[in-house]
Amino acid sequence: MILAKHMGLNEDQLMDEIGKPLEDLNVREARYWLTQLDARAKEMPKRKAPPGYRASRALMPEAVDAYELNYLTNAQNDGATLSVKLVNGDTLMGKLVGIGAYTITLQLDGGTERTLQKMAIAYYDHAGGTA
Amino acid sequence: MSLGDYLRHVRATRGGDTPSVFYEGLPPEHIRRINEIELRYSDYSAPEHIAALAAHLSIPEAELQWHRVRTRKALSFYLCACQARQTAATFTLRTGEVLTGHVVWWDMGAIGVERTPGQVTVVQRHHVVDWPGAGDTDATA
Repeated sequence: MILAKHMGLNEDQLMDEIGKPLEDLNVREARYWLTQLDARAKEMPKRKAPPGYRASRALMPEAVDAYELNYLTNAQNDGATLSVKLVNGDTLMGKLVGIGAYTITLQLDGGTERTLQKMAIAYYDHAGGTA
Repeated sequence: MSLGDYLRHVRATRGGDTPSVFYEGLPPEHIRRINEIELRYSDYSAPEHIAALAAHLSIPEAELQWHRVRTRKALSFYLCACQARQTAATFTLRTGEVLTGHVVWWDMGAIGVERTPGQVTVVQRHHVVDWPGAGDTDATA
């Protein structure tokens, strides 16, 4: 019935097409009709998803609203220098060269790259003073 | 800081063992529930879990309860209220530092705060310990 519903058929319409109630189908007949409906479902045009629709659930809660990800992506694309305050009170400054779900990577003065766990970060912003 | 964030912080500062190792000795049902408290962003604790956790971690039960009512959801309500009223939000961080600014956005992991016009500071949620009005109501309800 789930497959039929997906195709816009209700139980009565499906029963008319098959020619008997669903509970009267034997295994062989049920398999035949499932195959038929499945083949028809594959030929149906795909519905156009609304803007912003996610086909699958985000893997991590942080990815549901991707504001931070967008902020970091823009910063990386702009080659921005970030000022990062760590939980121990230290401040690191460097060009943002990598982002991940749990880490960001900065290129410090001298070219050294340092990957910081977000768990160790208190807050950060653009070192230049722009958003 | 929510109880889940606090427990992750405690676990990280005490060697960073996996939950199954770190909470070894507690009943399996408690470990499962604590795992959920750490992994999810809602409160899944019951009084018996808090009491067992407090004894296991040698942390006062009141401290765990203090974090328990400061859920991520409660923080979201505060952020939402500040944005709706167009008032500045104030956060006390784990280091004791206090940040103030207008909330531009927030998601599950971080908060975008405009401390000076045109500059967004991204504050990690797990580092926000307290905020005005936190704990006034039982946000776990």
